[in-house]
Formats: sequence, C-alpha cells, structure tokens
Amino acid sequence: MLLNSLPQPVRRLLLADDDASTCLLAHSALSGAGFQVFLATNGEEAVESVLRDRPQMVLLDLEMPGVDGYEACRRMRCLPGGVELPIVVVTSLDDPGSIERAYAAGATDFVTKPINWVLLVHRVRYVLRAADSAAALRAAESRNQALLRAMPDSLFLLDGAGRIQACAAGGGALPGDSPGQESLTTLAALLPPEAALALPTLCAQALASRMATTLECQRLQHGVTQVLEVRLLPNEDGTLLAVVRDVSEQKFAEQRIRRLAYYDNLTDLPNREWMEMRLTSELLAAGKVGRRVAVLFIDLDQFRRVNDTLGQLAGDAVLIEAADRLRRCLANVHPGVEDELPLARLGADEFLIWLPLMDSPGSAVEMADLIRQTFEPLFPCGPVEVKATASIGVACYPADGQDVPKLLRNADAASQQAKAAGRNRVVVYRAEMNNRALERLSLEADLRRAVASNSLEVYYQPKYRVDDLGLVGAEALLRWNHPRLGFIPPNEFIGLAEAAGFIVDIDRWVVKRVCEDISVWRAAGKRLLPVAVNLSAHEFLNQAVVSMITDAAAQAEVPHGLLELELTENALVHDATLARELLTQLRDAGFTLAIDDFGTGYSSLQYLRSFPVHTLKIDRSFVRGAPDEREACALIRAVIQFAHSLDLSVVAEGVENYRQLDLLRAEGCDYLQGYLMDPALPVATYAAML
Amino acid sequence: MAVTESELAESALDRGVIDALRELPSPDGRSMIVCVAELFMQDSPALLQQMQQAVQREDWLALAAAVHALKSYAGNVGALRFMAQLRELELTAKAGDGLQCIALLAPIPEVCSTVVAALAREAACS
Repeated sequence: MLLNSLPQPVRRLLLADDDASTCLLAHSALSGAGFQVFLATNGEEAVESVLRDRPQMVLLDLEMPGVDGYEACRRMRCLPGGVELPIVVVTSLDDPGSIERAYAAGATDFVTKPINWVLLVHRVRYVLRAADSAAALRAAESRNQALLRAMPDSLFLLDGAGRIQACAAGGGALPGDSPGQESLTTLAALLPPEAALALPTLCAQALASRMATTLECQRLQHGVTQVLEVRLLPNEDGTLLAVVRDVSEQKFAEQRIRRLAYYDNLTDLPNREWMEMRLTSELLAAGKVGRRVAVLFIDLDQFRRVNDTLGQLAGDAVLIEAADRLRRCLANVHPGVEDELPLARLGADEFLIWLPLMDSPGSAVEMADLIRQTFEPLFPCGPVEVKATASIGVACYPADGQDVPKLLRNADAASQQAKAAGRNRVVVYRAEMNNRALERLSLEADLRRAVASNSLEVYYQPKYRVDDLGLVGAEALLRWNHPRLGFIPPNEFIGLAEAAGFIVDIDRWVVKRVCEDISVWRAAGKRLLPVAVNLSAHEFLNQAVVSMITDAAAQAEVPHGLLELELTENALVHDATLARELLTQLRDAGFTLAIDDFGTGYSSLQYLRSFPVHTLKIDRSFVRGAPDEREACALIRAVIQFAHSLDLSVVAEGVENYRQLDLLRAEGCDYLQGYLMDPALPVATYAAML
Repeated sequence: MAVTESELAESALDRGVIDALRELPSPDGRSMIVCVAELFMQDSPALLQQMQQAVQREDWLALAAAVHALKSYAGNVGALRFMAQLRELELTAKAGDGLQCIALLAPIPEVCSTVVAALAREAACS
C-alpha cells in the first residue's frame, strides 16, 4: 500500500545474502522505505536476478556459498549496463582486506555489518541519487562529445599565457589539419606568424576585460588561402577557451556579396557606392592631418557614338579596356593590392580616381595628363579600332569641396569644361565653372524647348561661283535666338545638343525645315537652287538617315537634286564601311554629297577616294590664313588639285576679302561662300535673291 | 566480578540495535524483534551443531562458515559481544588453528543460550 502511494517510480534493489536474518531485516527496512526488493541467497542467483529483474542497485554480501560476492560483482560488471550499476558490498568491519578486494572486483561502495537499518535506507537513497547524477552526467557528456565531434571547430583550453592545457575538440589540430602532435604546448605554434605574435596580448586583454576577443588570420593550406577565426573566451579561473574556426567559406561568401554590392560587373571596378564610402573616409582622414586630396573625374569622349554606331557590345569592350588602362596607370604609381586602388566607375563612361596630394595640385594634373595620354591610342573593338579619348576634370579637397558630393560635382564641371574646350584634355576646377555648368544645364533645357516649339531658325548663306560670282545655292545654317541671351553661336549649342543626345532631333528638324522652305519658294515661283544641309555624325551613322531625308523630301515634294548633304570627315572615317554604304545609298537616291571642313579631321585620302561624294569644302581656317600664309596657300592648292583629280568640285568657306577671292580664282576653286559676299541671311532675305 | 544471569542477559544485546529493530515495519504486523528472535532461535541450534561436527572432522573451513553465519545472526539481533567472540573464532578457524578453535568454541553454546534468553525477553516485551 505504501509503495503505491509514492509519487516516484519504484526503484528496484537486489539484496544478495545467504543469511536469512539479514535478508529478512533488509527486506523489511528497504521495502518499508518504498523500494522493490529482490532477494538472492548466493552469487549465481544474484547475477541471474540482475539480468532478469534489472535492479537499479545491488546490495551484495561478500561471503556466500558457491559463487561468492567478489565473483558475482565481477560477473555483474560484464553484463549489459553492468558497468554503470551501483554495487554496494556488505562486509564486516574486521576484514579491511575484503573491502579492498571488493573494490578491485568492481564494487561501488560498501556497508559494514552489523547493518544499521535506518542508515542503510539513507545510504541506498544516496547511492541511487549519485548513480542518477552520474547517468545524467554521462548522457550530457555523450551529448557534448557528439557535439564536439560534429563541430568543425578546434577547442583548446589555454592558460593565461596561451599554453595549451587541454584539447576539447579537433584533436589538438587546427581545422583542416590532420589531428595534432602530442607534444603541442602553445596555441601560437599552430597559428600563422602574425597571429602567433598577437596571441599573448589578446589572451591578456580577454582575461583583463572578461570579454571574448576575436582574432582573424589567414594561412595557406594546401595552396588554398584559409581564413581562421580564433575566439578567446575568458574563464573565471584565469584560463581561456580558444575556439578556432575555419571561416573561409563565410569570408568568401562575404567577399562575393560585397563584390556584388560594390563592384561593377562589366569592368570589375568598384562602383559609386563603394567610392562614396572609401572617399568619405579618405577625406575624413585627410581632414584630420590637414592633407589635400585630388579627385580626377574622367569622362570618355564621344563614348555615346561608339555605343550608337557599333552597338553596346563594342561599347562594353571600350569600357573594359578603359578600366584596364586606368588600373595599369594607377598600379604603376600606386603599387599595392588591386582592390585598394583609388579608382571607381561612376556611371556609363565616367570614372573617378582620387589621390592624396603630398605637394602641389600640380602633381594631380600631371597624373591626370598621364591618364589622358593612356587613352590616346585607339581602342581595339572587334575588327575595328575606335577613338575614345578622355576629358578629365580635377578638383581638390578641401578647397573645391568639403564633402564627396560637392567635390564630385566640381570635378564633373571641370571635365565638362574639358569637353567643351575640345575634349582630350585636363581641366582644373575653378569656382566660376559651376556657374557655367548651371548655365549649361538651363541652356540645354531651353534648347530642348526651342526644338519642340519650332523656335529655332534656319538662315541661308548664299554660295557663288568663283568665276562669275553667280549665285548657285546656299548653305542652311541653324540660328538660335535665345529669348534672354540673344543669338547663340551654333558651335555652342550644337555641342550641347550632341552631349545631351538630341542632336538627331535637331538635324531632323533642319532637314524638314529646309524642304518646307524650298517647297514655299517653288509655290512662289522662285528660282530653285540647291541647299546644303549639315548632318551630324550622330545622324549620319544611323541606318535611318536615308529614309529620314527621303521622307522629308517626299513630304515637301522636293526633288533630291536640290538637297546637298554635308558631312564632316570624322563622321565618315569612324566607320568607313557603313559610311560608304550610306553615302552610296544617298547618292543613288539623287542627293548631292559634300565633305565639310575638309582638312581639319582625319583626312585619310585613301578613304576619301573611295567615298562617293561630289564636293569638298575647304575649311575656313585655311582660307583665313590666305593669301599671306604660305602654308595655307599650299594647302588650298593641294586640296583643289586633289579634288579635281578625283572629279570633285571645291567650295571655299569663310571668304572675307578680294585677295582671298583672287587666290581662289587663281587656284581654280569652283565655289565660295563668306562675308565677302553675304553672311547667313534670314529666309525672307535669301528668298528675295532667288 | 560476579555477574548475575539477568545482568548478563541484559548486557547481551545492544539497546540501540534493539530499538532500531522495533522501528522496522514487518509484513505480518508482528514486531520485527519477534521475527528475528524466532529466526535466531530456530536456526542457531543447527549452526551450533554444525560447529561441533566441523571440529570433530577438524574441518576448519566448515567451522569458519558456520561461525560466520551465526555471527551474522548475532550482529542482526544486536548481540555484539557474542558477535565479537564469533569473529575471533571465525578468524582462528580460517587460520586453521585447531587447538585455539576448540578453546574458543567451548563457551559459545552457553553465551548463545544467554542471547536466546535475552531475545525471548525482548520479544515478550513487544
């Protein structure tokens, strides 16, 4: 009844004694205390009972007939689960030798006869509790062991000086090594030299601060870089637990993520975000010591044209090559890890370099010019080579900007200035540039509005025969009368439209306008003379150019023979094959073709010979020097002779005086235009001449 | 040095052990003293006889075994002085000292009956 009322599961005990009175009393005492008691009167019975009844503890008399207590104890230890079974031997106090022998046979504990029954119950409870704790400990230990075995980390117990006291996991070796040498005494001996050097200090720090400290180090393991993390965890007793973990995977993953976030896929250069972080901290550091930092804003010249005409793949090839040139250039003056180069790609064709200035801003300009020069050789681009020079703006911290955005803006303004000044040059920022950049921006917006609202105007500069000064036609020239700024020279706003990417719209507008004017003159019964229209390189190197012009002519019912299309040399030699094809289509469609500004560009005579053009126009810069400059005269003569030898007619531009006219007449030039005769005239004035 | 029989009987049992026995529960409601006394009275004559026979056979190991068994009983009922005598006899028997065994065995039956008498008195008091 008593047993049933116990809340705990009944513990099973085996009592093995050949003495009936002991059995009787022990049974009485133990079952009275709530135990389930099994009895055996000799060793053999006792072993059988352990197997059968699975007692949680055994009270074993040593002196029994047959198999005695010692032998029984030994046999029990060999049974399944027998190692952990608490076996308490019962012996007489007068026989200390028996206790020793009992321990040797595997006894857990002993009680002496005569047995104090009250104490026995307590003793049994105590032994069972100890056995429970030991079992729990064993379970925990085996869980820990399993954990440690499963852990890829190595665990060391260190003393304050970093000497190894014990290896908890990893076999005394670092992750990735084969289990270690027995003779190992310090953790430092396992680590790469720089980490070994730092270890004692870190141990001391961890112990002093009672905070975990981490050390990261790299080593070459079978030819592969391995990143190890050593965590030092201080213990209360002045020892440290060192956990050494192979974090290579994690590190490489972090690097990959970082690369994705902060690097440009195409050129493998850091991107704008990375640049902002790096440059910000660079400026901060420089500010503290009063050092200057130069930023070089590098903008590829006419990169758009490469993309537009040769396709994006070609553009990409140019960008990759540009990045390589920058890297090489920097690596020469800035030896070190490539990742640390002060270089980033900001956007499509914009790159940024920043340099600490040790001496004068002049060194930054020198560096910028070095970079500019590396962009001068043509860029290989599939079967062709393209020109992609660099316009570089230089701004200096702190004078030209206290923070990254301002510095960048100003360096950008300087690079725009470099572009405006003719590209392929270095310009150092000056404060007034920003105003100009702002002006430029607002001008660009005005120009867009002007195109959209038809408020640009076409003027006509009459063209005359040199022989008799008879009117033969005109060149259509664009004029922009800005509502606030007045007339803006074409070279200013054409460049603006080219850079902003809407020159094509302007070209289209001009062609359409000229066609409409001709249509009006015809309706008015005027004499119909050809009009020359300038086409930008952008427009020309576009397959759609032929249909754009024929459509405009068709719409206004203008015969193709009345339209002369003027192109610069640069537009043609950029992609000679495409140019030849387009020129052929236009000539076959009946348009007249002229090469404008002849002598200022590539002037590849070889190319020229193969282009189906009708006319060469001598650039005004040569005419201006004539007849006083011998060189100019020689050039004019050579161009006229060359053109005539190819059956091309020649037009001289910018003729301003009679001496020039005489020269041109003497050299056999065919046509002329210039202030000598007329400036560019408003449409009504020109129409009146027809 | 004269000791009365009653005093002898009185001192034959250890009071502490007897009191402890009284505390022990017994399965049939009787006092554990009664049970153990009965067991002692029942088994001790046979053990004494085994001792005599072993001596006659000069089988000292058999003598030791019988003495050991009775010693257990004696311990369990608190006959500590009797137990000490038996312990000495057991060790002598194990050592094979026949003469000494005979000398030590001589008073054992009488002491045993004193213990039995004392036990009977204790049992009667329960």
